[in-house]
Order: sequence, then C-alpha cells, then structure tokens
Amino acid sequence: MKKINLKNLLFGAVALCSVGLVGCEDDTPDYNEFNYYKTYPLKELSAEAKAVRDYVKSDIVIAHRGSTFWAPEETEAAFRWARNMGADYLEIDLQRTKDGVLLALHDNNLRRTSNIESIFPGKEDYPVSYFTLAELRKLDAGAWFNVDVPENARESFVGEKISTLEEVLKIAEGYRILRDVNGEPVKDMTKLTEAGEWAGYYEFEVDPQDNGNRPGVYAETKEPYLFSGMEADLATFLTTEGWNVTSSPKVIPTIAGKVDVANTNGRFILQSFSRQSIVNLEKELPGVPKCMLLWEDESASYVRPSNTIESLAEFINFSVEYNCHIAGPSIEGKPNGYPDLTEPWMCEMYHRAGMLVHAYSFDTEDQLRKYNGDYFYGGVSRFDDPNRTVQGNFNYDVNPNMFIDGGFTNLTDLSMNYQKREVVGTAQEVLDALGY
Amino acid sequence: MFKKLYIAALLTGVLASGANAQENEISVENPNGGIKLTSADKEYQVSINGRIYMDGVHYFDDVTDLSSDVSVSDIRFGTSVRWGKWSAKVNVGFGNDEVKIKDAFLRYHHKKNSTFTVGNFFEPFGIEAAESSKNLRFIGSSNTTQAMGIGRGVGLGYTYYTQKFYGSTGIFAGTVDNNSKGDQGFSTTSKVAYTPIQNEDFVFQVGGSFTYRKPEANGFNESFNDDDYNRVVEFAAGPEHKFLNATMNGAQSDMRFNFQTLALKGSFMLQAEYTQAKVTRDDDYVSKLMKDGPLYYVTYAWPVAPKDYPDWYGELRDIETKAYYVQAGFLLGDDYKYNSSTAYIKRPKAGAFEFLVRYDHTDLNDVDGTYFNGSYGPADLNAALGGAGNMSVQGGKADTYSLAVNYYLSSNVMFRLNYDYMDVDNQKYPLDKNIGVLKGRIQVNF
Repeated sequence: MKKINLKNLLFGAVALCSVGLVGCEDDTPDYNEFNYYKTYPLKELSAEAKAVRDYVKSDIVIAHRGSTFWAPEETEAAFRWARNMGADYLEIDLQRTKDGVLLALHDNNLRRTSNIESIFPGKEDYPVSYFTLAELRKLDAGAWFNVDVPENARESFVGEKISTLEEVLKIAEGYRILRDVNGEPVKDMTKLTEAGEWAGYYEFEVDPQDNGNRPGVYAETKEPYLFSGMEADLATFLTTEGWNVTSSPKVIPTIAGKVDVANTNGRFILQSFSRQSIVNLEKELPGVPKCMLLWEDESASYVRPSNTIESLAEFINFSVEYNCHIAGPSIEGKPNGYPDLTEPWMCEMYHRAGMLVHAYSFDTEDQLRKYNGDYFYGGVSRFDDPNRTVQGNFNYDVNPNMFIDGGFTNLTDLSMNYQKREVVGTAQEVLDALGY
Repeated sequence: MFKKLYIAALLTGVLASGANAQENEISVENPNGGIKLTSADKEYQVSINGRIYMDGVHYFDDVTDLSSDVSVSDIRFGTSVRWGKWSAKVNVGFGNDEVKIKDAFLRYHHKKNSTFTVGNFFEPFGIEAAESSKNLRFIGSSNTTQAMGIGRGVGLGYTYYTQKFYGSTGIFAGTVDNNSKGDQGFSTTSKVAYTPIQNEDFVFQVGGSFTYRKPEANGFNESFNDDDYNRVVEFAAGPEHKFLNATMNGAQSDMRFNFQTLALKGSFMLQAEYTQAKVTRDDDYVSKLMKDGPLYYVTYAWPVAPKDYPDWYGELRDIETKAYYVQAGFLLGDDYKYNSSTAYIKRPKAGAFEFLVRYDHTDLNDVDGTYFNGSYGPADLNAALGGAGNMSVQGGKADTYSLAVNYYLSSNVMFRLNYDYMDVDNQKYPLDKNIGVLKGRIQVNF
C-alpha cells in the first residue's frame, strides 16, 4: 500500500468540512404560508370582472338562510325577519323539485327541517327532486324549529312552508304570501299542473309590515349531478322575474335611507362549492357576481390542509379563471367549529387576486371582531374608527386586506349592531311586529 | 425466514473457512488496496473489506426547504472467502444508523470466467445499477439510475464473460429489505455487453439489459384475504426524493429495458445509459363490487358494474417512464482502463485527478388527464370538475447538469466533489424551478 500524503488528506478534509459548514447556513426563507402569501403566484380578476365585482357593496350583512337562530331557516318567517331587520342579502340554498320548481332548502333531504316522517313515512331521506311542489306544500317546515330551539319558539311558526325562489324574490321586493282568515296560504289556481290540479303556488300581497328594505338574494347552487341543468333554469327564471341584471332587470322601488340592494346590479349573487356549477354559472349567467365557497378537506374538491397555500392558490386561480368575484371561506369558532379559511394571510391572497371576501358563518361578536381585525387594532372596530391604527408590534404587515368584506350571519341583528347600522328593534321585537 | 437461514449459513461457512485457514501458515497481501490472507497451500483466501463514506451536502434550494447536512452515509464491514472453486462474500452496511445487508452470497466458479451466484447481490442491469457505488464516477448514481435502476435482489445468477463479451442473468425473489406482509415479488434480469473494440488506444462497448418483475405486495388485505395486496412500484431520485418521485399502486408487472454504451480513449471516457420502464396495473373490481354492493341513492344506484370503479376513479392503465444520461470524463495522471470481468472501468491509479460532466434527463410523468388541487381528473374538464378521477402518475421531470472532480489519493482513499444543477418540473412543487446541490465525499475503502 502506498503512503498516504497527509497534506492532500488535510486538503480534502478541509474541503469537505467547508461543504458542511455552508450547509448550516439557511439561504432561503422557510417555505410556509407566512413567508409566501404575498408572493405566491396568483391570477387576478380582469378589469371587466372587477367592474362586476364592484356591483357588490362593501361590508354587507348576508342573512344566512334568513336566520337559523330566530326563526325556522329558509321559511317566509326567516326571510321576512331578515328583510325587516336590515340585512343586505337573503341567503338561500337552491334545489329543484320533481316538476322543476326552484326552491330554498339546505339539506339533501327533508328529515331535519320538516315533518316528512309523518307526511311521507319511509321517504325521510329522499331528495327534494323526488317530490313535486304540491307534495312539498303538505309539509310543515316550521314546527321542528320550536322543538329544536325552544327558547325562540313561536306558535305562529307552525305551518310555515318550504320557500320557493319566487317567494324569496317577492319577499325581497316587499311582498308576502297571501293568507286566508284561518292563516292558511291562498292557493294560486291560475298555475295548474297538466292534469289540471293545483301546482303548489301561492298568491302574494304587499306586505303590510314591510318597512321598505329591499335586500338582494345570495343563492347557492349544488353539485350539478344532483340537479342537472339547474343553472340554465335559474338564468331563465331570473330573466323572467326581472332579477337578471344582464337582461333588462326590472326597477324595484326603494326608499331613501333603506336597504336598496335589490335595485342595484348586485341584486343577485351566485355562490357554490361546486366547481362544475361555477363553470355552468359562468356560462349561463355571465356578468352576475359569483362567489366561490371554500371548505377544508383532504380532497380535490376542497382546500387541502396538507398543502394549504398551494391548494388555496389553486382555488383562487380557478375562481379568477371563471370570474368568481368573491371568495366565501369558512371561519372557526363556536357553535359550528368550522375550519378556518379566513386567516389574515388567506384574506390577503383573496384580495390580491382582486376578490372580495364574504366569510361564513357568524354567530358571535367575537367572530365579528376577530375577522374584521379588531384585535390587531387594540379592540377598535373600523365601524367605530375608520382611521384606526395597528396597536402592537407584530413585525409583519397588518393591513385592511387581511380582513373580510362581509359575512354570512345567522344573527343579522348582531352584525347590524356591530356595524353600527340602524336597527328597528331587537330581533324579537321585529318578529312581533311581523305578526309571529 | 429463508433469507435469514441462508445468511446464517453463509456466515457460518465464512467463519469456518477462516478458522481452517488459520491452522496453516498464512501470507498477507494487499492487492488493489484490500487485505488478503492466503493459506500456504493457496487453497484458502480470506479478504477483509470495508468502507467509509463521509459526506457533506449543501442544497441551494429554491422554495421547498432541503436539509443540508454532513453525514457518514455508509460504513461497511465485510469479508470474502475463497476456497477452490467456491467463494462467499458477506458485506453489511451501517450508514445513517441503519443496518443493511448488502452483498451476501455464495459463488461457484465453474471456470475462471463463468460463475454461478446465489444470495443477495446486484441484479445485472445497466452500468451504474450493477456497479458498486465506490466505482461510480460521481457521488451516487445519476437520477436515471436512482429512479429506474434496480440494485440488489435475493436470487440465483449466472455470469459469463470473455474479453469482448459480458453476459449475466438471474432470477430473484424480492429484496432483503422488504418487511411488508403479503407475497414477495420475483424478477428475472439479464444483461449483455459487447465490446467489439478493445485495444490499448480505444475501447468501445454497447450493451443492453432487460428485467421483468412482479412487484412486491405492500401488505395484506384482511377484507379480501389478499396476500397479493397493492403491489407497488416506486421510482424516486434526486434531493430527498422530492422532485422526482412516482408511486404506482396496483402494479401487476414491471418491465424495464436499458441501453448502455461506453467509450474509453486514453484519458477520455464517454458513458451513456437509456432506461425505459413500463408498469402494468390492475385491480380486483369484481371483489370490490361484491363487497360494496350497489349503493342506492334514491334517484340512482352506484356502482352497478365492476367497470364503474375505473370509469369513476380512473382506469389503472399502464404507466411508462423514461430517462437517460450522458457523461464524459477526463483523467489527469492516468488513462482509463477496461475490466472485462465487470464490463466497466478499472479504478484509476493513485495521484490521478478525474474531471467529469454529465447531463441527465429523467421523466417520471405519464399524464393523460387534467390536474388541479393535487389530483388528476379525466381529460374531460366537466367530468373532472364533477369529481371523476384519473390514475395518471406525475412523478416529476428534471434536467440535471452535473460537474465532478475526483482525486484518487491512494488505492484506498479518494476525495470527491460534485455540483448538480437541476431544472425541475413537478406539479406537487409548483414554485420550485432550479435546485443546486454541492456534494463532497471522503471515500475510504479497503
């Protein structure tokens, strides 16, 4: 064996050590959302899309299903209450009956929000699309609420009906369902089935308790495989009703000082968790504001918790590509315990793409203060002080883009009060005034 | 169990042979940097071998953090024993706090250039994959070989070579590392290399390899009492196996072929390999359907036929990947010399410097659908947005440019320094474009 040259050995060892020492140096920022939310590549809404986005005013209060807290959700009572309370939008979940009527219902079946077990035993888990509107009118969509939320129960909620989209639009316009002396809805016998039977529609009258607010409607479409072609049906219906802002929208009289969203280009906002539905909506209702709803789950349909920034960016880019003007992320906190997709850095990304942020769903004042950023400003709300300044040394850029532009709320009254907007009374007083 | 028994038997044989040799007068030699003990009657030879790799790596990472570090990546101890026409080798690695069985085989030397081997040894496939890392020109293999090379398997092999011809074949039954439940796989692998020109001035070689493999099962499925459960093929290469990483579930067979060429002229060398793989996949949809049954969703039922699964989740179609590299070297202080018994280059002599460049293109993508949010859907966007899946494989693609300098201090010690510049394209790491890797190694072997 040859002798080892110690000088060369030393040279090699030093070279190797230098590689190791260099290895200790951190040359790039850690790859996480906190270092990359400002620079992660995002598409941005076009100027045309931004013009549509601007149909939607800022700091809106969206009455989630009318209300889930004060009245049975998505019924006439909930929507009339939200209108008179001063909500900017009535939020609904669109579904379609067997005979093609668009209506407002959240769940995939009628088990939770009706007495279907008594009326159609054995069909509790059937979807709405199995029933005709006339069949659905047999259901009581209000009595269940008195059992589930006894502290807010009212005898007058018993007998509330599932609402059609037409009824929701009429309520927004200041109408209500016409009732006879017994309080039963009056059937509209001008609309009959092919067999000559009542088709399930009711007559309307000008709401004597209407206080002049004209909210818009914020409607969610479901997965297209559940209701194939529903987006086209919706476009046709909105055009017929004068609510399609791109097709000769009708003028809805408003009163100065009252909510007047129903008479603006932002009168109807589309929303969906379904990408397929968003694509269909862009095709059927271009030029109408759209919201991409976001949920967190480890699948392609949602924002993946395992790689949130990439996944969120992918959703934003998809939203921009199909002209979604609004991001609709979930917020955390009781009572829902939803995942938080409205963190400050996330809002900054939504806003960087040019989107508005309408988060869901608000149940507490703490949530309102948190997602409006109050805790960064020493607890000061921007509705108290529009010129509020950041209190504390956070060592990162805290700015208004990190917070929401509006929210879906189950407590319109709470959100109205938080925003320092005029309210006509307490939630209970408004329900009393409406005759419930 | 079979593997443990034969390894124990090998160790016993080696120790017994060693003890027998000690009874005679023993001579000591150190050929090629090793230590060899030979009995007086020349009947027994015992070699002791070992290895230490002291490595440092620094990543010039782009966005995704990579962990630069210094490590002792490999420590080996082993021994080779030869008696008459028989020899055996045991070699155990301890690098990175892991104990791994490396070479462990018994070999019968039918003739000087004709051997049968049984045990754990390199499957004959390509140049780099069948060669010890200590003899590779760069630190570690090219991405081509890391991804689609093979390495060692437990099996029976035969090798024959002449001055111009090298042929090796074998049948193998998985690896000693496989601890998964379920059936092992098997493979048959063969390599031929022909060196039509072989003289003092110039050596030129071409060759090819082929392997057919039944991948190893990845567990045991209690529901179906299935010992054939989810056979998996994984191709991975490069920094922390992040940017080049393809996993193919439901694999039924794995075929790879390799073309190789080598040219040596004085102090210059040129080496290239092309490797292509085809993995066939399938699943037991009938059993799945029998377990699930048609699920009734009021307005429709799903699934109602075995083909509903591939129709919705995506067909487990065959996957093809390919890669190649070309490298050139220049020796300062020696000329390249060819070794017919390994069909590769002999170690340069002490004091030589070696300078190398390499280009590697590794493509582990086989995609035919749409991609969004970490998943593949069918090419039909509407179906993809509706949630239908696609079984494309996106393992990433990279072009890697490498530089290396080796210094052969002695027959036992060498210093290596490498720099790799990777141009990566992997949808799982959308922000990463260029990765730099600086590697150094002090390599000791005896």
